[in-house]
Amino acid sequence: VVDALTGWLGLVLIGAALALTVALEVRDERADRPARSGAVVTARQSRRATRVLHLVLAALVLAVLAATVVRLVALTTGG
Amino acid sequence: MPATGTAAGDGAPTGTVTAPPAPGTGAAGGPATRSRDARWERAALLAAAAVAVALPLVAALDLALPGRTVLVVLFVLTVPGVPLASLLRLPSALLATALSVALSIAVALLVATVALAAGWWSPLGWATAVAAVGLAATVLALTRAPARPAPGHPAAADDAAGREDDAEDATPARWFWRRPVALVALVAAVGLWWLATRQTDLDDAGATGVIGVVHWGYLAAVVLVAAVAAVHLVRPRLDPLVLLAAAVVLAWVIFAFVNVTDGRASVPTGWLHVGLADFIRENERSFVGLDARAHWPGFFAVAAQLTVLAGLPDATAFLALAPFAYNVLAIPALLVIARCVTRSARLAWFAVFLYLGANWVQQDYFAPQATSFLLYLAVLATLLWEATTAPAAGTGTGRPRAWRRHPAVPAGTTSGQSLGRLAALLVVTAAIVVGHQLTPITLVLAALAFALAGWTRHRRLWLFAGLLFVGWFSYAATEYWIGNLPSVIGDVGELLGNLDSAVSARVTGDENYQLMQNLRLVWSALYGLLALLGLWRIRRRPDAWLILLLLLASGGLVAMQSYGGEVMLRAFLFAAPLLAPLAALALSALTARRAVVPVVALTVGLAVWGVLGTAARGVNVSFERVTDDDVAAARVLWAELDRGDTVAFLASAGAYGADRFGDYEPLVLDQDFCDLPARECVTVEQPDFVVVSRTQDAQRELAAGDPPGAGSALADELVATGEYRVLYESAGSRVLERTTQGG
Repeated sequence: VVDALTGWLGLVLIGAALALTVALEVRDERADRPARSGAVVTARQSRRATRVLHLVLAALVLAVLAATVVRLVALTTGG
Repeated sequence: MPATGTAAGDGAPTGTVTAPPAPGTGAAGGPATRSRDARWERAALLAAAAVAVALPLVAALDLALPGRTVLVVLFVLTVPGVPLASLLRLPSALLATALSVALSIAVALLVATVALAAGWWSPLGWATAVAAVGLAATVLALTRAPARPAPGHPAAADDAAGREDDAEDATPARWFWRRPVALVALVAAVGLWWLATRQTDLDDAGATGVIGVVHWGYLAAVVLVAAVAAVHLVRPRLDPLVLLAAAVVLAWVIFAFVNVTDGRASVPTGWLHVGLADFIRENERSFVGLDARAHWPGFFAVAAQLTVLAGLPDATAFLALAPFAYNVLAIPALLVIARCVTRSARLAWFAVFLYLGANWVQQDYFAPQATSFLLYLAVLATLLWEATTAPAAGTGTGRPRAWRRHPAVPAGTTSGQSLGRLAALLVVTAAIVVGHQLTPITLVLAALAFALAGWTRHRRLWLFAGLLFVGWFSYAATEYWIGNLPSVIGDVGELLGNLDSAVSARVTGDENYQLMQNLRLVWSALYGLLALLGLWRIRRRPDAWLILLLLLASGGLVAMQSYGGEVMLRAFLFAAPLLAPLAALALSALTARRAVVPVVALTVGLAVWGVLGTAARGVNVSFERVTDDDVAAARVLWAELDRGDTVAFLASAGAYGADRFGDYEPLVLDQDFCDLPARECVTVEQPDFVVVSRTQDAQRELAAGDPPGAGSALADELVATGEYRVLYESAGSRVLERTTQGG
C-alpha cells in the first residue's frame, strides 16, 4: 500500500480530488440557474448530495495530504 | 452603507460617499460607446487571427522577414487568448485585455510543459495546433453577438475612464489642444531620456547606483512625464489615451534606461535563463539534475520554442526590453484591480503611476516569476472585478458565515459566463503552478482570502490551486525536494528568521551601499504606511476586510520561506498591486482639485516618486548590469572550454550562463561556497578557467565589503606566478586559463 500511495495511488487521489473540486464548482454555478417547477424534493436531494460530495472531497484531500507526506518521507529516507 | 473614500465621479473632492456599485462607476456607456467597443473587439479578433495564420506560415517557410521576432511575441501574447477572452463576453475591455494576455501565455506555458514532459518537442507543430484552436475560437467569437453590457451596469462605463464632461473642458479648442500638447511633452521626455542614455556612464556607478551617475536629461524626462500625468489626472474628463501614453512612457523611461544605456540587458540571472532555454532547445529535454528550475521548465521551454519560431540563435533578443514589456502588460490588470479598490477611474490611473514608480524590486527581468506574476495579476483582477461588480456582493441576508456566502454573478452576466471565467481561471492557475515555485503559494492564499471573506463564487479555486501545487511539487519536482526538503520545510514558521535574512542580513558591505539599502527599506515602509492610511479611509466599506486579507496573503510568504533572503522582495511584489491603489486613496486629495497649486504638488510628488524608484531600483547597477566586455569575455570562455571543465568566478555577475549551460562546473571563489579565501580556493580547486571582471569586483566590494579591485589583484597574482595565462583581456573583464591544463 505504501508503494502504491507513494506512486500511482497518490496520483489517482490527486486527480480524483481535482476532478471533484471542479465538479463541485460547476455544480455551484449550475445551482444558480432557475429551478424547474415542483423542485422542492429535488432541492432537498441536491443539498444532501452536495453535503455527501463535500465529505468525499474532504476525505480525498486528507488522503492526498497523507499520501504526500508518506511519499516525502519514503523518498527522502530512501525507504 | 456609508463609506469613506473617493467619489467615483472623479470630479468631486474626497469625502464620504455611498459605497457600491464599485469599479468604474460614472456615466454609463451609450450606444456609440458600445458600438465602438464592439468594433475594437472585432479588430482585435481579426488581428489575432492574422497573427495566428502568419506565424506558422513564416516559421514553416523560414522566411527571414524583418519583424519576425515581433510576430512571435505577438503570437504568444494574443493566441489563443484574444478569441477565448472574447467568448467570455466580459463587459470590461480592460479585464478582457488582461485575460487575453494571461490566457495566451498560460496556454503557451502548458503546451510547452506537455511537449517537454511527453517528449513531443515540435515548436512549429505546437504553434500550428495553438493557432488552429485560436482560429476556431475566433470564428466562434465572430459569429456570436458582441458583448452588450446592460445600460447602467457599472462595467458599461468601466473603460470610459470617467466621461463626465464639464462645459469648459469640452470646448473644441481645449479638446483639440490638450492631447497634442501632452503627446509633444511625452515625445520631448523620450528625447531627453535618449540624451541621458548617451551621456550617462554606468562604469562610474558605485555604491549609490544609477542615481549617482544619471544625466540630468533623465530627471527632466521624469519631471515631464509626471507633469503630463498630473495635468491629466486632475482634469474633469479623463483622457485614457494620454494617461496610457504617459504610463507607457514612464515605464519606458524607468525600466529601459539601464539596458539601453549599456546596449546590453542587465541582471545576470536573465542571461542564465537564456542558457537554460538554449539547453532545452538543443537537448529537447529539461535540465534535470543541473538546476532546481528544471522542475518548473515551462517558461524556458516557451522561450526555446520562441527562438525556433523566430529563427533566432538564442533568447538574448528578448532580454533587453523584458522589464518594460512586463510592466506595460501589467497595466490593464492593474487598472482593473485599482478600480475595484479605489472605486475611481481617476485614482486607478493615479495608482498605475504610483505602481510603476515604486516597482523597484527588479523582478521583471526575463524570468519565470515575471511571467507568472502577470498571470497572477489577471487572476486577482478577475476575482476582484467579479466581487465588486456583483450586486450586493458580500452582504447576504441573515448574515450567514462569510465563507458560506455565494455572491451573485456580476450584473449583466450569466452563470454560464461565470462558468467560462472559472474555466479561464483554472487554465491560468494550472499554468502558474507548472511555471514557478513561489507564485502558486501566494495564489492559494489570495484565493483562500476571497473564499474566507465570502467574496467569490469560485470558493474552491484555492483548493484546486493547492492540490495542483501539491501534486506538481510531489511528483514533478521529486528530485528537487529529495535534495532540499530540510531547507524547504525548515523555513516554515520561521517568521523572524526569514525577515532577518531578507532585511537586516542584506544591509551589509560598503557604508554608502548600506545607506542606499536603507533608503529602499524606508521608502518601502513609507509606501506601506500610505497604503495602510488608504485602507483606514475605506475601513467601513464591506470589502475592506477582503483587501486586508489579500494584503496579508501577499505577506504570508514571509512566514513560510526565506527564499534565499529574497522573500521580502517577493512579498513586496505581490502586495504592490494593492499597495498602489491604497496609497492612491491616501493621496487622493492631490487629484481632487483642478488648480495650479495641486497640479504642481502632484507633479512634484510623482516626479519625486519616480526618482526615488529609479534610485531604489538602480542601487545594484554596478554589478547587476552586463556590459559588452562581459559578453565578449563569455564568448571567449564558451569557445575555449571543454565539457567538464571548472570555471571560477569571484561573484555571479556577467553573461556566462547564457551558453554551454551544464558543460562546465561553476566555482564561486568565496568563503561561503569554497570554505576558503579566494586565493587558497584557486590553489586547492585548480579551476581550469578563472574569470574576473569589473562587475564581479563591484559586487564583492559593495555587498561583501572586499577591497576595491579584488578580482584584478587576484588575476595579476595568478598570471605573475605562472599558474594561469591571459586568454582574453579588456577594460572590464579578464579570462584566465590554467597553464597546466591537460598536462
